[in-house]
Amino acid sequence: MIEIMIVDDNPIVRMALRGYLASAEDVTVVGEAPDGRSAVTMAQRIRPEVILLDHRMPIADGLSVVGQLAEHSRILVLTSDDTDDLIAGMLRGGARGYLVHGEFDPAELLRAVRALAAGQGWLSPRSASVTIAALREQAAREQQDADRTENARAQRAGFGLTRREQEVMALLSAGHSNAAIARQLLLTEKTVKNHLANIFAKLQATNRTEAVVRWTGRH
Amino acid sequence: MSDISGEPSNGDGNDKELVTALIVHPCSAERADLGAVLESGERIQVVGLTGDGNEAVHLAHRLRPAVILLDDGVTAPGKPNLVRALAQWSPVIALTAATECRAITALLCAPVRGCLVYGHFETSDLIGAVRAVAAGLGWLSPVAAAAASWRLRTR
Repeated sequence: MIEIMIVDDNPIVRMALRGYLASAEDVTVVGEAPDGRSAVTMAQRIRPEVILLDHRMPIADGLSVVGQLAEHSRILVLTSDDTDDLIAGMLRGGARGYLVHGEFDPAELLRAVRALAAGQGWLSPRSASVTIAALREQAAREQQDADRTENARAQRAGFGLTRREQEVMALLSAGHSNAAIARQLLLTEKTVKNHLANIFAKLQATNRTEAVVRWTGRH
Repeated sequence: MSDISGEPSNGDGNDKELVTALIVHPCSAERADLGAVLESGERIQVVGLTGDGNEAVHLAHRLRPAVILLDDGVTAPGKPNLVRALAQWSPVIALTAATECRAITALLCAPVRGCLVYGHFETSDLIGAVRAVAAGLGWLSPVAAAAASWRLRTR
């Protein structure tokens, strides 16, 4: 039996959803909550398998509690809002399904609930489209980061810093002062200064900021 | 080659525009089955069928179907990214047997606009997917939806 909790501030919507689910023998509604905060409290106690979660609610909205609810339950967002930001935010927060009121029938709701209970997902055509776009952007960003890291690594190798100079540069890049670097590496400040002079020459930098920019490859 | 209509169709201005589809699948029997399912949907027309990747790109270019259904087993010599080559002409819905998250998310970034996983969709889903993608939306089978949301969660 799939145990379900319904979270929506509108009692008529909750009643309609209960009605949709009543026809199924493998589904039972174990709780209802009218806002995000009481949903968190109740869900922690009854641990429903699937939570039908609205977004716009008083006290705490759906987006603000989706992460907490997703820790122990599978979240199917059921809302009237389907902006790109809300869809992506809900999914990043842990939701596994997204349906928009007025665009699904009882049969689809049941398929969605069963899919989530089986560890799968369920996305309306618009939320599927937003999800694919968000995924592609994320992959492009990660590729960019990986390229940048690789470029920086290749560039660093070209500077020919000694192991000790690399250690000094790592601490400098993290924003440490000469005194802090000296303490961490068990050196005198004068030795740190000597290392920095050599590093600046190798990096063709005239100051700390320039050295950090050259070393990290970030501007 | 089996170019059925000969000409691309851009609909006739009715409320429900005619949706044209190109089917790309290595197995001729399955191509025919997919075609029959799609044509059972109201105002969907299969304008081409092929099992060859290069021919698919050629057909997509010439027919500009509203949607391309592509089995991920189809290859095109000289085109390492067949999806990208097709997607420059029309949106692609991938048909795959893959259920592993990374394989599916790689496919979604290929880039496709929909993903149907064999064994996880019904004929009505196939028609729904074609209509949704033709309308500029997306479609993900439950397994693919799970893979996509997992990837967004674990960035």
